[in-house]
Amino acid sequence: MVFNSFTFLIYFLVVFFAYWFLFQKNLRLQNLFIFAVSYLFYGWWDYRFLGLLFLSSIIDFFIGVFLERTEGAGKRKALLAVSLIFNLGLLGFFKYYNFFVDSFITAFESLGISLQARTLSIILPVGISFYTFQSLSYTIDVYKKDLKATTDFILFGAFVSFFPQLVAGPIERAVHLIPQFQKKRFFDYAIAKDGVKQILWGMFKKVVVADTCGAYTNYIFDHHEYMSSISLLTGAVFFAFQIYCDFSGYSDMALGLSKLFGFRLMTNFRYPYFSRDVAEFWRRWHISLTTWFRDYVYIPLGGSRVSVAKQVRNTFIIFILSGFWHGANWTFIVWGALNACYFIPLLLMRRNRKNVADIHSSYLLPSPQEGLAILFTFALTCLAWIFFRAENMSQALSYIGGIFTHYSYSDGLHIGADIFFFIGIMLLLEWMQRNSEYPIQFLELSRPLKAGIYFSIAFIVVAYFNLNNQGFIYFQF
Amino acid sequence: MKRFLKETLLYTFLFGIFSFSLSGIIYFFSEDKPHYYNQYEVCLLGDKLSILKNSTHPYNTLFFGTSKTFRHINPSVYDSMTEGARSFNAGISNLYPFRMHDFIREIAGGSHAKYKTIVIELSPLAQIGSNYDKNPNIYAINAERFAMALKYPFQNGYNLKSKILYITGYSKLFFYKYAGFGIAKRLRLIADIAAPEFQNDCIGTDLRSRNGYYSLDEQLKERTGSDWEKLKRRNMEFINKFAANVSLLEDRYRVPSNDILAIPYTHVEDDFTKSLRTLIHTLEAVTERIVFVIPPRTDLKDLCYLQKQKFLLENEGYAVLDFSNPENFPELYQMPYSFDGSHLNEKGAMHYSALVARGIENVPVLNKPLKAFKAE
Repeated sequence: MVFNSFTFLIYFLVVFFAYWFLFQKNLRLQNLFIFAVSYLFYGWWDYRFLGLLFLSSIIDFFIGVFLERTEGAGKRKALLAVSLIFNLGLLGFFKYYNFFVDSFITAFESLGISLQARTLSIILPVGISFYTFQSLSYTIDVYKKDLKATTDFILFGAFVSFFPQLVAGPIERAVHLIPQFQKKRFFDYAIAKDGVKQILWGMFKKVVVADTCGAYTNYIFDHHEYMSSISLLTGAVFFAFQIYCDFSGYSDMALGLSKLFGFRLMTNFRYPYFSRDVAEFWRRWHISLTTWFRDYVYIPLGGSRVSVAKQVRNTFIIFILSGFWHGANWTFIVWGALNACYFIPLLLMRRNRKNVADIHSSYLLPSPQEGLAILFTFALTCLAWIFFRAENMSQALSYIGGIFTHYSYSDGLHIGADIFFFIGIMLLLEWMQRNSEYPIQFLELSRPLKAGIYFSIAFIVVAYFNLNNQGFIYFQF
Repeated sequence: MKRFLKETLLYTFLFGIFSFSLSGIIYFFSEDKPHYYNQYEVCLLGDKLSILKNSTHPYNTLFFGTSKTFRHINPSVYDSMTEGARSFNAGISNLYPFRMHDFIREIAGGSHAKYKTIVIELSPLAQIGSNYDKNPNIYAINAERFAMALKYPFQNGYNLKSKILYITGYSKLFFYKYAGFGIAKRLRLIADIAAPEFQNDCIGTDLRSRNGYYSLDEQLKERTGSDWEKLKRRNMEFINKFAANVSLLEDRYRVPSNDILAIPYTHVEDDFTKSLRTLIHTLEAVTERIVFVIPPRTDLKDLCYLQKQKFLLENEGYAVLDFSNPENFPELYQMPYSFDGSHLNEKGAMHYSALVARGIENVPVLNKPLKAFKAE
């Protein structure tokens, strides 16, 4: 069940009305209801993995309870280790088992040693990387005593499985979301209205921009051997917009839906393609994952308070882990490593925190220097995205090679002007509203004008709606 | 909450009006150009259309139908048994009747070519099911056809479940189209903007040299990919299931004699048959002979309706070759000729093509004006 489907619309309407009209009076009932409907939502994909979600929740719940009651440092560490081993083991088995087996076989074969090992036909449970990380954040926070463990399993289960963000994030922090489950939710007209607008914007990005770009990128990547340099460049740029609009579109819908149920989720994207350097890009892209790695890996490793050599090492570790988190493929690891290579010069020159503040909202345009920096950062990002999108390393390298060698190719690819128009509109709105949570809040416009804009956006979404193009890229992670 | 619901309902209602009006204006007032059809239809149909339109040695016999024509009629067998014949298999998998009518019109309607024989597979009006969002179906539906589809199960004595399925399926399709879903495709065509849709449902073989025919066995051998792996698995499951008990397949399609006697149809012409009659009228200008076929392995739930059409057409003097009864053609229902439960394999197709050729051989050339169907 994906957000841009009729099935979800029906599911949402039933859940929304039941939540506010039948379960409003009691906090435990509200949480129980969210817990139940979230499991229904997840089970819609594959009911067999509900057990996994439940197991992950119940183990971390009890570890949390024991951590709360245990004072001895050794015992607390052991409890945390159990949670880490279980969650990462789960992820490792479902996501990485075949990758490691294949890689070992290949490595030993290159040494002339034949290994007898077999891969398994394992189905990757949707969203496993998201909910295991969310659940882990809870045990780590309780271990660090940043959060008091909950003794209410229903509340904890609802936190782990909360349907708007269960399968593709944002990866919420326990310290941020659990307190919201501990308080009774009341319907707020302004917040709900804001949520609807954010869902509409998410739909626009997903249905209009991401899916249209996706049709081109799929074709270009699948036929890259025959495509001209210009088409290959276009494919890389379109993939950059596809992945951004697909993923941030999902996040917007998740945030908007949560608002309709009285929750506030963390912002996951802050207009990343207006970044002036790669460090800024990573402060604006998939914020929930970046900050997760920062807080739970980078800082415990010493963060920036260690020697430069160690900082470089730590940077490499988090970028490679981030790549590996996306999937068991060398292409993701190279993508992560490439981003680390972009980042490290900034770190060494102490320029990684140069662009922390936004470009001032009163500026109509960025300065020429800022504009060039934005374009340069975008180009670097597009290059890295080629590895992210490619099926394997040889495809990625052949694709990049093609950009520099296929000048004379004629592929007959025609690209519709509409997609350039919509990307342009999206970027323009994002630029004008870059200090807002999402670009169509339009707090200051008159009501009829706002209605006209929303109706037009909604009609474009309907016009471009295609039930066959409904998958979200990040579901596979 | 009250205010939120009131406003949401109001805006949804206003948006509904806005969206329906705008889509209606776009569909009704934009001129339907000939190339739109090709853009909406599947790749296989486009390929066949192009072969037929650009053939240097024109074909004189055409076979229209679904996969039960596409996978079952081998033109080389037909040509070898029919003097002077140069036939082409214009069958397309999942070609719902409205689309089939459009396809026939596209080829024969505007054509000055004179065909010797046009063979049309009789098929009931399909339940649209989950295919309401598919471009070819969106293109094929209009207000008149929607009304026809709503009346169809009532005019032909279908049971309640079928009535519900027909009504919901076609209502979804009609709503989907006129509420504006997927209208971007139409807008792109109007504005002559390249569409980001690349060929799908392509068959990936040289259909010209095969005269439009491609057996499932051949395709299964030649193709790879997840869809084909699925089909291979299904094929194996079928073989394992039916090889053990060969009579199962025959039993599955056996027409219970009681049912045939108690066919709930009336011999009154329904709207869908009327539309077929209009099509026949168009075809009579371009062909010497029209032959209808009820293919083997027709779903029993559709058989009553097809028998009704057969009755009406035969009453008019048209030939209907009926292969739907396993008792008359047992070999078409047995394992050696089977690819799966619904389709024949290559060997079966050769045998079936020969049966069709023999059947058509005996059909006289029609050269008479079309009369109204008799209503009883």
